Amino acid sequence: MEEHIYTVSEIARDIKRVLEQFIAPVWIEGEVSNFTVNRIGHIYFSLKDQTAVLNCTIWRSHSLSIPFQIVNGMRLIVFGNVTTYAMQSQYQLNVQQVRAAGLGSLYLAFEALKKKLSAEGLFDQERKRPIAHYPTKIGLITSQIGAALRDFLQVSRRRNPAIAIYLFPALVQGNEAAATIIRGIQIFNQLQNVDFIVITRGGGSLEDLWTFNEEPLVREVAQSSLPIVSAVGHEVDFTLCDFAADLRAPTPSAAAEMTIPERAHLIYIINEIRQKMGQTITNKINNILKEIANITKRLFLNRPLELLHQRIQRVDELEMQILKSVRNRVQFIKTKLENFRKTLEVMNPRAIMERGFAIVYHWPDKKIIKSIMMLSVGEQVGVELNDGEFQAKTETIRPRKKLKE
Amino acid sequence: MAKKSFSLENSLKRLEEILQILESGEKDIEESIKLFEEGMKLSTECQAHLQTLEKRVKLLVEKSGGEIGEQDFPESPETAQPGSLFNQE
Repeated sequence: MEEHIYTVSEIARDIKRVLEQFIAPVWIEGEVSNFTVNRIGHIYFSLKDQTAVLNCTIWRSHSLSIPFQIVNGMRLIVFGNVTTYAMQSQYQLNVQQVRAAGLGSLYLAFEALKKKLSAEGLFDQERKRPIAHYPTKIGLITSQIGAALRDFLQVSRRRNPAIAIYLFPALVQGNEAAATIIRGIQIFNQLQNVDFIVITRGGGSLEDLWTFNEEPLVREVAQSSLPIVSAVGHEVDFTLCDFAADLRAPTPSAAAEMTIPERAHLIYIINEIRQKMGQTITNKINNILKEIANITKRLFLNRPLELLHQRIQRVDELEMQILKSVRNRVQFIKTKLENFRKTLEVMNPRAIMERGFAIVYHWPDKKIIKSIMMLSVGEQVGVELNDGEFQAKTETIRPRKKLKE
Repeated sequence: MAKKSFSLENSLKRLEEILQILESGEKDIEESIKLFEEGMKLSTECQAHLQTLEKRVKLLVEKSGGEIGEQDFPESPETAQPGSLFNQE
């Protein structure tokens, strides 16, 4: 019997058939190494344990559905079928599904994606949009049967029942969850009917919360035009959705506490503003009334006619003063004159003669004799008295002794 | 759909602004009275908004064809408390 001689291709094809036929698609656990992604999106890596290595490929069509970032050192559980790569005389696993094996792996994935998106600037503070301080409409994305919804509504009702809440029912756990939440974000952004979006769910394990670490969701949150508040998990749980959101709240209740102002407080603020506005405008009006009163008063004081009257009065006053002064002066002069006249009168020889004195003069030439030296005995003299004169003749002449001294 | 025209946020922002201008005293009386009237109108709107009774939660529903509808969300008794201004606190 003649032996059949195989070509290389023939034996490769048989090996392929045997492998694919006898090894059904299986779940395999191992540690990732040599991880690479080519430029069209196919993923290549190896799974290994202590004694063996298995090459793995994830075609682009499957790679897009992996919910986390694969990194070297991560433990994975993958599902796929064993096949061959005849060009290199290799066998390998075509991976269809991927799960992280254990928390450590998810944590590695979390850190890897966080690092990548952070480098892209998705978590930058400058990207954060302000959350409306006084919202009237809030878009809520959460499970409609979860405790998160109940908590949020309770607090929101207590603080301000006038706020309208639009609920987009989403899945918050599992493979489909991220897609429903993304849809919610898109719908609110399309409707633009709310002030901001709150994405929330209650606490859970890292796996439970994994939806909120999936890259497409984190990117959608970052690029939403409406601001987003993320309240995922409980207190200590952080997700990448929290980092990408504009505000992170530690719990669903806290999200309501932080974003919804109390109605009583708002009413107080508004009343206070009304009161202050009223006070200010009243003051303003009062000031203006005061000013008007002031101006009126000044106008009255400065009336031109009034001024003219004042001037006329002043002229009258001055005139009177002048008259009085002139009169005084005339009176003064009159008095002076009178005194002078009286003095003159006193000095008039006639007045002296009225008091009994006489004037003696030579007869007939009427030359007044002022001294006995002008006389001789027997001389004819005239004597004039107050009421007439007479002729006389000197008998004796006696000088006054005292005068000689 | 909610009224697009009223925004508590914008109204309160404008109110603060009006109060600040009034208090600065930089506007004349005519302008001030106009601002005052605007402020009173805005604040009345805000008060009216705040005194509306409890709004129901609306559930958004995607219909076939991508249209979005709204339904009242049936709340459990513990979340749907009657909201009146006077039983707060």
